[in-house]
Amino acid sequence: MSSFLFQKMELFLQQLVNGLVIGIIYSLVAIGLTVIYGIFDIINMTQGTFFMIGAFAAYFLTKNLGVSYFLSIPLAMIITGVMGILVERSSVRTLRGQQNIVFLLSTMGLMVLLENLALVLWGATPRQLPSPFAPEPVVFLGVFLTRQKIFLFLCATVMILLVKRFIKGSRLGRSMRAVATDQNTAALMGIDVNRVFIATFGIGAGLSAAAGVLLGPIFDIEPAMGHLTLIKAFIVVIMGGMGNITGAFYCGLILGVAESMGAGYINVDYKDAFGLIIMILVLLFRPQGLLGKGGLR
Amino acid sequence: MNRGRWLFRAIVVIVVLVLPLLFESTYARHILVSSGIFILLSLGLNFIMGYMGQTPFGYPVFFGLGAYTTALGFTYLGTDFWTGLIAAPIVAGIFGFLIGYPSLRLRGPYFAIVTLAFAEIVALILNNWVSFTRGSMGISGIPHPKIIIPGLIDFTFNHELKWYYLVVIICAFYLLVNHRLIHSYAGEAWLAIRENEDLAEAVGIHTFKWKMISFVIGAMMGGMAGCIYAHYYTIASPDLVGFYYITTIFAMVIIGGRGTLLGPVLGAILFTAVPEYLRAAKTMRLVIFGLIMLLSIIFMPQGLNGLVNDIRERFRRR
Repeated sequence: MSSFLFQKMELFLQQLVNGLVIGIIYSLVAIGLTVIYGIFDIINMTQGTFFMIGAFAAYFLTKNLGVSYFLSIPLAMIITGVMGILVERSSVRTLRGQQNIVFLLSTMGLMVLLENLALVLWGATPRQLPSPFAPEPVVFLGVFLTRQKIFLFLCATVMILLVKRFIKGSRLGRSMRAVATDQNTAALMGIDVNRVFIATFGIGAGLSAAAGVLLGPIFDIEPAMGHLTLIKAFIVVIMGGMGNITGAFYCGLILGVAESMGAGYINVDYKDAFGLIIMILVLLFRPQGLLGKGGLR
Repeated sequence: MNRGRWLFRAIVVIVVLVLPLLFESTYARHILVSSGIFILLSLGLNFIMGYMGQTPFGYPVFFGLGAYTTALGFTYLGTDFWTGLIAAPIVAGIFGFLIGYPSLRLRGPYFAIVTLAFAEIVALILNNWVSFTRGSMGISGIPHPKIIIPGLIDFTFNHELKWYYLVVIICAFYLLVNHRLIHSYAGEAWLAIRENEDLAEAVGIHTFKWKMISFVIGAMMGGMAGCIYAHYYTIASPDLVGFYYITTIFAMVIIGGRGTLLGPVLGAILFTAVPEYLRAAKTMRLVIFGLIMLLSIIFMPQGLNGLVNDIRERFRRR
């Protein structure tokens, strides 16, 4: 009897750990989305595309240029960050002053463009990034974990902490918070708003790209991989409160765990529905998000 | 002035009636018919987005529900097109009420995303409930509509020309309904809500009720369009609720021009014809499509309708 309970416990822990691993990926993408929302007040549809571009940039760097996996993480982040800045220049700055919905559509146009460009370049066959770690899992308390997953979790946590520090402490981070509060007043106080815009999109795109590279050796990479990620990031941003970085971090983990538990204990086919249902409930009963607004502010 | 307007209207009617006869190829006629179906869909979205002013991001869910209503009705109950034409908007309207009831309390991006969430849930069910919906394969073999009066008429809408006139009649019906609703008390209430919801509430408009009515009517329009789509293409699949249709339909309405009747019509024609003719470009097709979307938003913020108005103004001044 007790061994049966023990098995149950092990299964529970395994689901929990798997959920945390995928959850931190959601956090990374969602923090990018929420920062961009906080500064521009727009929903950036290319956030999932950055995730895909990051993964493919790393794939190109490691497979075609022989760069090591570890080096490919910062390089892919830089490449995608530059892409992010180009996106800001081409489809956000040119439309300044328009209604929110217009930005939704302009970034959606770019999403279609970039995604299909990736399809032309790499085709629809799923690929995998090679992991630099040995495939044998580490067993701890009956939980199986690959080294890649451990690395992913640590690396993502460090990045999130760095971004938080950056926005809280650095000069540019303070300018970002000022612009998020009131763009015009910030500009009057001598803050270079354009620099803030560039930094925001660079950071947002870079974080998404990092998520793509970290997850690449675990899941398949393909041009359409960004869709579901974008929706998950939406859910996390709404759960955490729009513009709230800390909220996005915790809620990413919550979403990951909820999905993993739902898939393990309820029904694996409807794994993606659990997050959506949680989001609808949050919106109905706590529309300001679980942790309230105000991360950037 | 008045005579000129009637002349213009007569010309439009004649052009619409003669248009398919100018094209010999069935392919061109096919594009005309599918433009017509997307005109219906974009008029439905425009009804919610253009007049009531909220953005239902998951709007194609009603299109999919309409298509599945008639497809499942045909498969399990043996219903025909005309039953579907009535049942699809009813089912879509019921779902519109169920989705609208929680989500219309929210505004802006929240409303947009929560409707998208509902659409995703419906897509998941359509994909996973294989024993009922046949999963991602979709339901095929939906028959063309027939008009049969024993001994008198035996008429099947089996090629593009017949379909064209059927779709034109339904388009005219949609435009008429749209026009009448917008120029009624309800239309004024919706405009007030679109311009300033708090103020509308303050002057005594029951905003939630009117938003709900608009949302349900828009959903019914989408459902009917879905039914027509299913019988014309003879297939209903979960793709109808997916990302491609979301992108296309929003491009049609916004690039056509929100809050006008002509805008969505122009947008639907443009964004049906362009992807079809880009088929020659094969893999680059959707890349070019995305580029056109982006460029038209940047250079035509008022949409095609704004462009038409500019041209009209220029003629008037002469």
